[in-house]
Amino acid sequence: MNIVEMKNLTKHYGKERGIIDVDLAIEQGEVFGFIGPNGAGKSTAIRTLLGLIRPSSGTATIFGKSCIEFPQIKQDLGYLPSEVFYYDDMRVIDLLKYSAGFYNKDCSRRIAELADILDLDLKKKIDSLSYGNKKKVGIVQGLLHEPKLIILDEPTGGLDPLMQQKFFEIIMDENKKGATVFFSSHILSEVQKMCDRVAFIKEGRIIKSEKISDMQDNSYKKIAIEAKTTLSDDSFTLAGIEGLSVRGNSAEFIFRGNINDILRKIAPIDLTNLTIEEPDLEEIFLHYYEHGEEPANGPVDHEEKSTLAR
Amino acid sequence: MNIFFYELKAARKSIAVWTGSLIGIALLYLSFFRGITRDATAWKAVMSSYPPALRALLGVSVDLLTSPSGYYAMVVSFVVLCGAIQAMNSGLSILYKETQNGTVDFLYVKPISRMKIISSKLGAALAALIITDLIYFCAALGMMSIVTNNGFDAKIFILLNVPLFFVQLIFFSLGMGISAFLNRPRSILPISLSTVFGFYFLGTFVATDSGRYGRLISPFKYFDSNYVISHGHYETLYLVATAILVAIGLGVAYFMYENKDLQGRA
Repeated sequence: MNIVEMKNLTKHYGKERGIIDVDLAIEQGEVFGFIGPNGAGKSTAIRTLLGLIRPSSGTATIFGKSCIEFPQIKQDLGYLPSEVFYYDDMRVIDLLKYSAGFYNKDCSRRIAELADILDLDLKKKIDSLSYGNKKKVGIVQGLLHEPKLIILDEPTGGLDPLMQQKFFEIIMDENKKGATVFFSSHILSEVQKMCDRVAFIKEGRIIKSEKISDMQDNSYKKIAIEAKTTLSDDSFTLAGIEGLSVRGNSAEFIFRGNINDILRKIAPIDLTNLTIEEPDLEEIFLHYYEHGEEPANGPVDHEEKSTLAR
Repeated sequence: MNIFFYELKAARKSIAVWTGSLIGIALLYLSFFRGITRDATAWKAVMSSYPPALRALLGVSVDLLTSPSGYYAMVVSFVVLCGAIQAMNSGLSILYKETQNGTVDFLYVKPISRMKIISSKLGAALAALIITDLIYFCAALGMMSIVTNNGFDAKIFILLNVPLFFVQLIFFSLGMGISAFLNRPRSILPISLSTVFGFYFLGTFVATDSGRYGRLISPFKYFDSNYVISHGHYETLYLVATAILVAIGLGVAYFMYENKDLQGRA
């Protein structure tokens, strides 16, 4: 059984687009990243999954059941929204106890542990807290019942780098203990560090889903060359070349495919310099958002749908 | 029960403020009672010279003015007006405040159904109104005993007070129903004040030219004090109207909130 599953999930707000035909499946124990620019539909997909928003069509389930029809299924769900708002007149500890009261277990030990790790003062009133500290309340609130599924919607905003580090450590610990993590972000490096698999969403549709390890294997190279003579675009007509930029004697691009093919292509050029690097995710995927489509005739682009819905 | 007790606890201040206001209004008016009975004829003459519409607005009945029940009927009409504002505020905010404050992301991802959230909040809000009304009732009973030297009809006194809760129920349900249509954060006080005062003034126009069905327009005219004092019971038509309005308001609130898209505040 998939822990999270969305099938043809569609949401329109009147005539405005929310998400369109989103298919997604997350297995037990995975850390799954959900990447896309602001307004792409990440939050809509997550809020529909949580039952906060009613879908226009399609289904969304956690642990095989819909949150709308089976609210009890949320006993094992922990959620941290991108913006946290709580009851301002409450003290932190009272809010956390109120939250804990919804779950069938004693959460006091875990509250104390998490507050200690995050250095959160439980006696303070919520309206006296800075945004970063409110976010900490959100983290404790989302994790105090040791949920089996953790859903994070752009969770790191407002946290300083040290706290982000601690936060990721807590999440990874929960994952080691068996929790499945569904994590949306527009910051690729976060996802790169944390996730096993990642789905990319653009304008409401999932355009790609892949294992992080596949994306970073040797098939992706960032190549820069400098030649003795002026270069032209024609020298780089090869499937798998992306983001080509030619300026006088130098050229830069990302290549995905058989490394021998590109070396043969470059070989006739009289070079003065050549660098081949591992690109980061940001560079690999920037062009998806710029151009909107996957590379034409890309050598490894055929399996995406099946990887996505695996 | 978690939500019920949280909501009730959160309402403490509001209960105190509104109870204080209701008692304050009664205290202010009842403190004039002895003076008015002393100069009864003069007061009746003054009141008779007022235009009927103004008398209706003030809730004054000239014949009954100097009797304890008649005078209290006038007092209670202002208390009901104040109580209606309390109820409408409560109805508007009890569910809507979660959207307004962005706390839907906290409450509505808890492992309970929306139906249960709505019912718990409804229960807590009604409990708060009942607490307010009971405290007010005890205080009013005490004040009446003092100013009239126990010279008032206890049954009529109770009958004059219960409509406070009925009218509150109507405005509470109306508020809850209206709140289901509010989406983006906005202030609820103008909505509740304009609605309550709107119906109050509407009621005064109806009263001057009142037909039996004309009075249905304003909940403030459903429990006519003169009728209660002379008959010792309420009019069935308006009890039914109250029940129907409450059912519609709550029904709309349940249906809308059950299916509503809950957006975060961000």
